[in-house]
This record gives sequence, C-alpha cells and structure tokens, in this order.
Amino acid sequence: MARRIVLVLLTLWLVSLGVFAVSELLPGDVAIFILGQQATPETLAVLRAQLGLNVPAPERYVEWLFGFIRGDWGKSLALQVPITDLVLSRMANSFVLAGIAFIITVPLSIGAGLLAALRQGRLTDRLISLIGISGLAIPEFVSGVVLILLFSLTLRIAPASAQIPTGASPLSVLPALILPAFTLALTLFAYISRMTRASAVEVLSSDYVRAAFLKGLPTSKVITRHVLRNALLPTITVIGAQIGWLVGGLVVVEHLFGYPGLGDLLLFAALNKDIPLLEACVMVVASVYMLANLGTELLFGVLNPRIRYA
Amino acid sequence: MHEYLGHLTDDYRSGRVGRRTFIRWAATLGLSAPAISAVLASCAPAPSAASPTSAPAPPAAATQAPAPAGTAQPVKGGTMRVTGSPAVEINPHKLTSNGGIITTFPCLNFLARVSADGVPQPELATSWTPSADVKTWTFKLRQGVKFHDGSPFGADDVVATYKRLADKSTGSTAASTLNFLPPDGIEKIDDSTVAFHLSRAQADFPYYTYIYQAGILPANWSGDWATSPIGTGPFKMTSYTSGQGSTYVRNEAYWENGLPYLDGIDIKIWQDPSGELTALQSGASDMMALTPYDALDDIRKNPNLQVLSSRSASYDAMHMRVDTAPFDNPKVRQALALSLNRQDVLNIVLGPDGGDLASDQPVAPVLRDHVDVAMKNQDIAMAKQLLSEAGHPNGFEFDLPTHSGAEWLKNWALTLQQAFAPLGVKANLVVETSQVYYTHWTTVTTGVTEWASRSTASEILNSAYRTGVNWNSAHWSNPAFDTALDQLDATVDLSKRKELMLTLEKALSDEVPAIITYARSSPRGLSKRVQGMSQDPNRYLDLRSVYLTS
Repeated sequence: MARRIVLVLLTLWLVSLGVFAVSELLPGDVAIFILGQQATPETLAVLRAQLGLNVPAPERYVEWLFGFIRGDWGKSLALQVPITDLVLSRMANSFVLAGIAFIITVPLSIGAGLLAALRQGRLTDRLISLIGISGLAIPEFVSGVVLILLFSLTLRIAPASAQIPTGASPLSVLPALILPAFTLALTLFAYISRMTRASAVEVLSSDYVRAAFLKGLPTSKVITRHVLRNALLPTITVIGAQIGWLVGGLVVVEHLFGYPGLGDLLLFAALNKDIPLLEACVMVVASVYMLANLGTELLFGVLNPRIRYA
Repeated sequence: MHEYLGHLTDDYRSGRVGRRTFIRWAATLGLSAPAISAVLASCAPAPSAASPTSAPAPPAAATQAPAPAGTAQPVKGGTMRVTGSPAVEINPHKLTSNGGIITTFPCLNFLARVSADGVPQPELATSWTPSADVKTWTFKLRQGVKFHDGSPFGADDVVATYKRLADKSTGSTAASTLNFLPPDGIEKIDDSTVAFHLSRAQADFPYYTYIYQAGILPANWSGDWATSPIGTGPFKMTSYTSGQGSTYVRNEAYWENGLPYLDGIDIKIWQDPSGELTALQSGASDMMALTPYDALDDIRKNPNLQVLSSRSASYDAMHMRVDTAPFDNPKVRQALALSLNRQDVLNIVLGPDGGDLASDQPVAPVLRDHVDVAMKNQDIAMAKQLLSEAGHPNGFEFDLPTHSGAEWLKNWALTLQQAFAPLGVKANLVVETSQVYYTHWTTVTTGVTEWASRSTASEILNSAYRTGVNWNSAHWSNPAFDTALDQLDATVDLSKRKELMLTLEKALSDEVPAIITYARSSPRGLSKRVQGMSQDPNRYLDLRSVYLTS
C-alpha cells in the first residue's frame, strides 16, 4: 500500500512537471492574454512584473511546487483570485454534475446490459446495442447540442443553461442539470451497458450457470447470485475507468452548458496560459483519476477474493 | 468660453456648418447644453444635405432623465439578465476586455459620456472650458454626488483617478492613450474644479474622458474591485464570482433624477458565445453584451428577440509592412486594394447592413471628423498592370496570419484571399489563437487584425498610423501625415480641420499601409421586453434608462 501511495505521488509530480514544461514551450503568456491587442511594450512589461512572470521558469516552478505542497496554491494570473477556493468550489460543482450522471447511468446501464444478455439476438438486445453504439459514436458536443435543440429550444421543457446564481449551491438549479447530466450519461451508458452485456453473455454460457439452472434454482436467484456477481467484476473496472473519461466529457459538457465546474475552469486556464490555475486543476483531476483507479482495484479485491493485493 | 465658439455659431447661423457638426463641435469646446439649444432654436438653417444620418439630438441636460427609445411609459422594477465573455481584468483603471467593461460599468460614472451620436455630454463634470490653445482644459464638477459608501465625490477623486491612469507604473493601457497627459499636469483648483494641463494641444480632450478605463473611483480606493467595488454609478455590485458572473442592485441614492428604472442586473459569464446565444433564445437571458455577426439571423428570426445595431468606428485591417518585400512597393499594396469588390466583401462577411464601406482608411463615416475620400472600385485590369509594373506579372505568394478570437475575422481574411487569387497572388491563411497572434502582430509582414471602435479620428490615427507608434504594424511612415496629425490635434477651426482630415485620409487611402474595406456596425441581440436601451457603438453597458416590460 505504501508503495502505491509513493507511486501516486511520483506520478502527480511528473504530471505537474509535464504540464508546466508544455505550457512554457507554447508561445504567448497570460500577460498577452489579459492585454490582448491593447498590449504595448510598456504595459506588457509592467503587467509581467506585477504577475511575477519576469522570474525564470525553473525558479517559478520550484516556488509553485513548494507553495502547492504547503497548500498555498497561489493566485490565478488571469482572474486574480486565490486558486484554492476557486478550484475546490468548482470541483464540488463538477462532483454534483458527475454524481447525478452516475446515479442516472449506472443502474440503468447495468440493467440494460443484463437485459440485452438475457434477450441475446432479439429485438430488445438490438435496440439496446443501437442506443449504446450511438452513445459511443456521437461526441458530447453533438449530443449536447441536439438535446438543447430538442428540449430547450423546440419543446422548451428543460433549461439550456446550467449557470448557477452567484453564491448559490448547484443543487438549487437541479432542473438545469438534467440536460448536461443526460449528455454525460449517454456516453457512460454505452461503455457500461456493453461491458455488462459482454460479460453477462459469457457468464450465462458458463457451466456453473447451466448447473444452477439444472439444479432447479429460480431465474431471479441465478441472476442475482451467479450471473450478476461475476458479470459485474469487469464492469466495475470499466466504471472506474469512466471516472477518468468523465473529466474529458465534463470539459465539453460544462463548456457547452456554461456550467461552472472544474472542466470549464480547466479549459479556461489552458486557453489563457494561466499556469498556476492549470496546474491546480490538473493536479486535482489527476488525483481524482488515480484515487478512482486505486478504489476500483480495492473494490475488485473485495468482490473477487482470488486477486487480493498485498 | 473658447473664442472659436463665436465663429462656430456664426457659421452655423449662416449655414456654412451643419446642425450635426455644430452640436458635436460646440459640445466638445464646452458650450453648455442650454446654450446649444438656444442657438438651435434661434435659427432654422437649411437642412444639411451632406449629413449622412439624421441629426443628433442636442445634449440633454444631465439632470433630466434621457428620453427612452420606447414609446411606453417606463416602468420601475425587474432584474435584467445579461450574458458576456470572461472578465480577465476587473480593475476599472486597467480594463482590457468587454467582460471587464460590462462587469464594472453599471457602477461607474465618467466626467463626460459620449452619446451614440458622438456628442460628449456632461456627467460628473457639469461643464468644461478649454484654453485658447486647447492645451489646458478646466472641468467644473457636479456637486452633491456621493459614492456608494456615502462618501462625497469631489476634485480629489478626479485627480487621483486620472493620476493613476496617466502613471505608467499602474500598468494601464490608458497611459499610452492619454500620452499627452502628464501625471503632474492634473491640478485640483478647488473642491469642484480640476484643470488638465496637457503636454501638447488636444482639441478632442472631452472625448478622452470617456475612454473605458476612466470611470471615476474614490481617491482612497483600495485597488481591488472584487472586494471593494465602488463608484458613483446607477448600480451597486452585490456579488462577484470570478469567471461566473456578478449581480447588482439599484443605487437608491443615484444622482440622476428617477434613474435607474431596473431593480438590479444579473450578469453571467460564458466562455463561448454559442452558449450565450442559446441562453438568449431560450429566454434565460435578456441580452448578449457582444453579439456575434453570424448570430444575427437567428436572433431576427425569433419573435421574442430583437437586434439593436449601431454604426461604429470599429474596423478590420490587413496591414502590409512597407519595409518588407514585396509590400515595400506601393504598387503592390495598391494592386491588392483594387482587387476587392468592397460591397460584396461586406455582404459576405457581415451582411449588407453590417457596416459602412471604407476606402483603406479607418476614419468611419460615423465620426465627427470623417471626410469623404473617393471610394475604390474593383479594377482587376488596373491591379494586374500595377503588379506588372512592380515586377510581379504572375503574382506572388505570402503568409497571411490572423486569429480565431473574433469570429468574423477569419471570414474577412478568406474573402481577401479569394479576391487576390485572380491576380495570381496566393495568400496562405494562418489562423492562430489570439494569444499567439498578439505576441507578434506588430512584427509579422502582413496580418489581419480587428480594431475596436474609438470616439475620435485623432485617437484612431494616432494609435496605429503615426510614425513609430507601438501599434503601427505596417511600419508605415509619412512625415506629411505626421505633421497634419499634429496640426489636427491643435486646430479648432472646422474648415482647417476638414483640410487636414482630407490630407490624412487620402494619404492612407493612396499609400495603403493597410487594406480596410469597411467600418463595422455594433449589433446587440436582446429580448423584446428590454426597452429604452440606447445604441452604443462601443458596446459598453449603459442601463441607466433601461426598463423591462413583461
């Protein structure tokens, strides 16, 4: 366990170094972003000095790193506000949105995957496959726009904007979260339902399931006790991996619906070369990703005692 | 009172000066609104046929509520929802983006405000008087105005605000716009009088009090807008969430009688204009602060929405470095300019009502000092001949960088590229992000750049076409032009100004340091329930006399 944590920390450090190096290599800096066309050599010089951009890059990185470790994430260069509060509040918003998407998707897709496996080759199976493959093939920025067109602009039953009133909790705009959560759910549904179906089909054709049926167990018992328990193992891995995928989806969906989450902030930081803000966002995302993977592995061990880690 | 005002009044009475020009020039030189009205009432000269638009209204006495555009009686109440782009800098002295402008403007007042008609109108100043040489301007300040925290507004606040703007170490781009205003030239005469001693003559000075960084803040302001938003303006900021938006309530103690009508404002920040458009279409917002040109059709089609469009002096320019081959030969630049059908270009890029045509000079017809120079027509034969004479009978190839930060700009660059093709000239379009483009836009051989609207010809010409200035991306230098520009800023005589403007505009149109095919209009998409919104060439945020109908 200790070894794993050291590895996680090492990975995080490498990620932070990579992000910093890549941002440094790209042309332009945040001073140019802030001033834009208004930039004159004098104002650029003053602003760079005010933002501390005159310091050599390695020195800035070391200063940032030690600050970050101490919990002082610094000030956003473009927005001029403390990063810690900003990132944590945005992360909380993203968790709410992602959580709703998961609550919608996980039971629905596992149920659908199982149903498809039981009705293998029949119309229900084909239909579920079709929905799943469409969800995989259509990127969020297309499905999101289609959902907005249909439900917000034509039917006018769901808000197109997921903006949160300043200072309010994201739960206060719950109806506004339906469309973004559903957009995320479409992609998630595809992965999880197809994985559930595949492993359920495999389990259903196994000897022990046949034996369970033959010894006269009712179908519901066979499914809950034998099929589900075994078919869920690979599915859980997929769900864990989806948490990483979800961040990518969040960037698109949050941007599209104007939802103030971490993905939207990440994109803003990257586009504007706000390196301290970008680093903080990436660190949070990378930590979430690695914790999700770690959690998946541990859960895997609980469900399958044969592969427990030392 | 400036001595020229007597001549101006005589010229107006005898019909030598049109009503529109008279109002704008008399207001600039400090003739009060009642005095202007009195002159207008005392004679009814022949209507000026040359006037490109309807005559502007005389400046309203600032203590009266401006008449709203709607016919209905204004109703009090309601919160207006506005969407805008990210505010990267919200210190009012250091604003650089529209997001920052709309975040701070509801709270602020200026010494003077330039109306959509181009008339500088007293705001926190009640009057101003230039010296005979227009190098010293004395402003009388309004009495009894209070900041949002209840502290009184006075000369110290004006002096402090302008000293911060003029001081290079503040890091405000206003310091270069106001490069004729030395920090120690700002003098408090008494509690309600401030004098500006300029380092050179500037006949347009009142217009410069409405540059967007010049909102008046208290002398003791902390410097942090997010935690201490303050001003004398019609609204008080009640919350600000970085990157998300801000909210405002009516300033109950506001000094303009009966204003504002709205209870409050709710501004939401979107990173992407398509999200803003959706919010507007679905009724989640009442106005898009910056409406993209390509969204106007969708907005006009929606029965609940309207487009408010204002002529402006914003424009797009393709500069060509006159010190770099092949553009060092003026014939090459002239040839490219002749390849364009300017009306077609406007129709394609912005739509037929998207702006006014321009003949490679940036002083738009909407500006007070604009004079007409011959409009260039497409002439491929002539263009080919010029190219041959310049030694490029078969054309040439070059890189044309532009950026993706302004959605129409790439389309304009594409139409240029198409127009050059019949000459054998191949422009390789390089679309960069705006951050990358603005690292090198003043050094690249050619580049396509968008320019925001400004209130005076002098500011436009000084910022980008004078020899050696930062934004002179064509590296163009014309001593006669520079001399005429110096004289323009020092000249109050209208007929002399007209001659100078002709020299300036013709120099640009003839030598073509930059291709400029139009002045853009400034459109805004808003809900039909929004009434009383004034036209605004700059697309700032003036909601003083706006009200909502249900």
